[in-house]
Amino acid sequence: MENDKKQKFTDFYETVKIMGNELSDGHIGNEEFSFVNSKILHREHELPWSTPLFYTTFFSIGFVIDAYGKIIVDKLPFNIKPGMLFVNKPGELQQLTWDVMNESYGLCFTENFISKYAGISIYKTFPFLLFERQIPLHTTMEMQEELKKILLQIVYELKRDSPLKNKICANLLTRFLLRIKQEYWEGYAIHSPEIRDPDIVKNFIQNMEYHYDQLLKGKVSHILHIKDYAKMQQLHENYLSSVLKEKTGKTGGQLIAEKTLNAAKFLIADSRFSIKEISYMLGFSYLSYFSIFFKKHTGHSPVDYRKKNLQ
Amino acid sequence: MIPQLTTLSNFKDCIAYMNLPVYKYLDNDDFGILKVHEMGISLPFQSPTFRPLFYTFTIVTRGIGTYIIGNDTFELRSNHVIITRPDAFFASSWTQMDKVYNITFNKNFLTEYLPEGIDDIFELGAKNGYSCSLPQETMDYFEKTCLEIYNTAVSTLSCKDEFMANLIINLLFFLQLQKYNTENLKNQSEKHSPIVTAFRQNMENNFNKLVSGENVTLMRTKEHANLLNINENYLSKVVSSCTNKTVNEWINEKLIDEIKYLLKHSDKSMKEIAKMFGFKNLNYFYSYFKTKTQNAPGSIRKEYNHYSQEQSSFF
Repeated sequence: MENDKKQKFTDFYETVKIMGNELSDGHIGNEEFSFVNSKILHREHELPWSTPLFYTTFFSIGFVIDAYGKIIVDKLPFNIKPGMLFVNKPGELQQLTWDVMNESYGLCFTENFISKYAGISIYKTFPFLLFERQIPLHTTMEMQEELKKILLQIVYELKRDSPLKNKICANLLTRFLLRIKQEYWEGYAIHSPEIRDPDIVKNFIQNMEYHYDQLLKGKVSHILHIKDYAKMQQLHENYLSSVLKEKTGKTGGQLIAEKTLNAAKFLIADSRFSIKEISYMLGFSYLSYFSIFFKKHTGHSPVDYRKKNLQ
Repeated sequence: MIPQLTTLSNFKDCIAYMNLPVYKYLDNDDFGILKVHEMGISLPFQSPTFRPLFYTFTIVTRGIGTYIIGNDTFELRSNHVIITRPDAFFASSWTQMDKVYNITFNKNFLTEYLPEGIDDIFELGAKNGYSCSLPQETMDYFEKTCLEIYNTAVSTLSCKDEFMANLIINLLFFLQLQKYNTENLKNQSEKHSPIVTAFRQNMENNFNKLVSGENVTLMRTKEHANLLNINENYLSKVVSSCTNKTVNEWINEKLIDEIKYLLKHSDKSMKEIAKMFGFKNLNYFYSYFKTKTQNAPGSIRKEYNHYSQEQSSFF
């Protein structure tokens, strides 16, 4: 596969473009959370229709009631049939093709959305979303009914635009995911980080999630670099970096920086720690490094961010 | 009628104390849902006074009752919902009950599934509860969700707690929206900070301990700041900027609220009440109460007794 064919979508409006080129009833929401009604997006005369290969920065759920097509996730092709449910995580290379479209819906959401508005850590509540290769799931009629009911409520809330819109949507999304968890992943537990897994990327993400979970709980107080993660997996750091770059489209440093940024946002919103404490917690040796890092990625200085959060 | 004063705080203990059936599906103290009308309560009903550790969320489809929480009285009619705070004296009475759902949940339960706590969703502020009547359509939705919670509670699903928490949170959002509509308020007022939440929690714990006699001193700013390992001035600053009330105002309000309940709904003597809240001498108790409420404790008790006698002779 040639590199220039791979596209990456970070922006909501680019995603809209990829999903069908119009911002209407077929695609409502914002860059953190959105709902897709494929029937409206893809009219009959446009079919068959397919996206280019692309990377996402968000989780996406496709809920097919009556449609046919094909999806390629991480180079594995699957045929889409009625009653299918697929869940994709960020950083997966995918391509979607529709042949027949009668009824199908999609939800896109970021990890930040669910932790910000529902207070839920994906790592703790829905670990299977992060760590498992998602193969398409088959839904029963009963399950379809239930999921559809939740979706209709989501659409209603998105259109109603009440002051609590985001929180209610996050709440409904959680319910949707809980149904999936109950049905397919009952009793799922994260493997302890010591167990070696042949999948390097998965192992890396698991180590990283575990480390940041500990960091936020205050159990460890230093940050790990790509070198440390490589050592944990007994690989050379260059090799780990190149694998990560190829599979996720981002370098290890970028992945770590993103995670650090999320942790920083979380800690800053919590007023118990001073900015200085936070910067040490996250492994910055000088406060100014932290401020520069934070400002570079969010456009606000840490103090401004905290003030804005308190307003 | 003066309700019997108890300091029972767990949900199951409370039900058992009233000689009501404790169903098997109520398998922990963290969360419970009851179809109250199916419990065989003989009307009119007066509950003893409890000091619950749990939030109570009651949905009255058809019924008439009264909740007394601290110094606040809530009249419940058909199509009413009420949510009440824990850590205050609580008594209820019912004269009619055809369809009433009662959901109770501990603070622990909520923080496990909703880390920021209830204040983030639903602004009770310093009030002991919030009650409102709902339009028919919303009521139907609440009732439907209640049944869904009930069905989940009696089921054996592995993540049923998560489901129930999710549904409860959903109802709380809708209640909050209802509150915005009726009060015409914008999304404003209280800002939330973990320090404020922790402070209020400690304050409530302190009161619980005073009431049960485990502790004899009332904590003030200094003790609260020490407990949180922060500076006294910083605590005052955060609390007053987030809630528009000072630390002492919070404590005094709560204290007066507790005292008023005991004056009205119990037959404890002044001396006992004063001792309970750590007043070293009775004169100080009288003058404290009088400066805060412009009324002597004795006259509050007398007035209330007089009023309630009139009420009962009226019926």
